[in-house]
Amino acid sequence: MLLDILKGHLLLDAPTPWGLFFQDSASPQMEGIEELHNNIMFYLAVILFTVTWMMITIIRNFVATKSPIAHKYLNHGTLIELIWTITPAFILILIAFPSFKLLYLMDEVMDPSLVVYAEGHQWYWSYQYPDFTNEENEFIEFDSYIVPESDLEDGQFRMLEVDNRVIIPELTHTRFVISAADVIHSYACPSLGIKADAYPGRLNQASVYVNRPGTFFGQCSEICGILHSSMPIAIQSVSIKDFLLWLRDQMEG
Amino acid sequence: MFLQSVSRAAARSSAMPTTAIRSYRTVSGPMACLNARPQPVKKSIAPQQTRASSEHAISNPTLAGIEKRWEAMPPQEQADLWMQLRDRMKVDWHQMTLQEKKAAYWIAFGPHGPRAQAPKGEGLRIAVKVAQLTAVSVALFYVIHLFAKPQPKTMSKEWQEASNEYAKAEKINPIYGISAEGYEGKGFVQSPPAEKS
Repeated sequence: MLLDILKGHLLLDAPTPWGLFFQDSASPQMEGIEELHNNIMFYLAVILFTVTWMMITIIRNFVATKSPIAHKYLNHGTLIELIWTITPAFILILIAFPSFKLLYLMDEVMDPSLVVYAEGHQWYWSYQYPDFTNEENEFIEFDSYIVPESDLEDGQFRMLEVDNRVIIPELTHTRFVISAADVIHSYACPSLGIKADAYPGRLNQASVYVNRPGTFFGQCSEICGILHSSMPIAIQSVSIKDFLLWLRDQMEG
Repeated sequence: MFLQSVSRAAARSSAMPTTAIRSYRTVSGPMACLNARPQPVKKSIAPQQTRASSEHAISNPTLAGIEKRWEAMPPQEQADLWMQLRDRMKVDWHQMTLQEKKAAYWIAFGPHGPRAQAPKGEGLRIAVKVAQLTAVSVALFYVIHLFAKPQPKTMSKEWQEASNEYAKAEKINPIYGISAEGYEGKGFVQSPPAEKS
C-alpha cells in the first residue's frame, strides 16, 4: 500500500503536485545519482538512529535524580575518542568511494554523436546545433522563451512550457555545451541528471544519453536576476527517425 | 585576539564567588598554561599552597542550615568557608563530621548558582508566550494572505485534468507516473473545480 503510494506519487519525470522524490530517470547518469542517494540515505538512517539512541540513553541515565554526581573533572577518554573519530572517518570513506566513482563517470563525455550548444541569457535560453549545416553553411539556431500564463493551452504546465523545445534523439550520446551571454545561469534537467553552471566566457559540458522518448522539464538553477524563475528548459527526446525529420524541417524552414 | 578574549573571560570568571573552589592552581596566572614559552618556576609560593590540612572540625553552627544561608552569604565568606572545608577534606574523610560532609557535598553539587532550580511555573509561562507569538504570526499570515492575488488559472481541477491528458500525450512519467501502465493516482489534479462565474 505504502509502496504503491510512493511509486504513484514520488517517482516522477516532470514535477508533480506534492512530489517529494526524484523525477523519473531517463538517463544512466540519473540512475547513478539516484542509487548513490539511496546508498547515502542508508548510512544516514543508521547514523540518525544511533545518535538518537545515544542521546535518549544519555538523557534517561544521566538525569539529576538518577545520577546526582556530575563528573565535572572527567574530560578525557582515549578509547571513546578513538571510537568517535574512526567510526565517522570510516563512514565518510564508505560514502566517498561510490561518490567519486559516479563523479568521474559523469564527467566523462563519451564520444558524442551530437552536440547541442545552450547559452543562458537574461532571461531565456538559446540553442545551436553546430553539427548540421545547410547549403549556405547555416546551422540551426533558436531562442527558447517561456510561454506566459495567458498564452498557455489547456493542460500545459505553467512556468515550465517554452515556445521552442530542444529536440534530441533517444539512445544517442549527446554533448551539451553550456555557456552564458550575460550573467551566471545554470542549465538543469532533473530527469536527465544534468546540472551545469553556465558562465559567460566559459564552456561547460555535460554528457546526456536519453534512454527513452519523452518530454523533460528543467529550470535555470542559478539566481540570475528578476526573471530567473521564468527561463525554463524543455527537452524533448524523440526517435532518431523523428529527429532527422525535425532536422530536415529546420534546415528547409 | 583569542588569547585576549580568553583572558577577559578569565578575569570575569575570577570575579565570581566560586573561584575560591577552583583556586588550587599552582601556576602563576589562570591562563599561564596558554603561554607558548616555558615559564621559569617562581620561588614565591601561592598563598593557598601554604594552607595545611586541618584536623579541627568546623563548628556545627557555622555549617547548620548552609542550604538556606549560602546564596545570601558575601563572596568572601563563601570562599573562606569553602577553604576551611577543603582543608578538612585533606585529612581522612572518615574523620569529617556528617555535617561537614553534607555541607561539602551541597556546596559542590547543590542546586545553587548555575544548578539552581527554575522558578515555579516558568515552563508554563514560556509555553504560553510561545503560543501567543505563534498565534500572532498565524494571524499576520492570514491578514497578508487577504491581499494576495487570486490563484493562477492553472490551479483548477479542469485545467489539471487537461494536464493529465497532455502529459499522457507527451509520454511524461511513463515508469511510475501518469503515463505508466495501470497507474491509478490523481496525476496532476490537486485543486478543487474552478468557481462558476
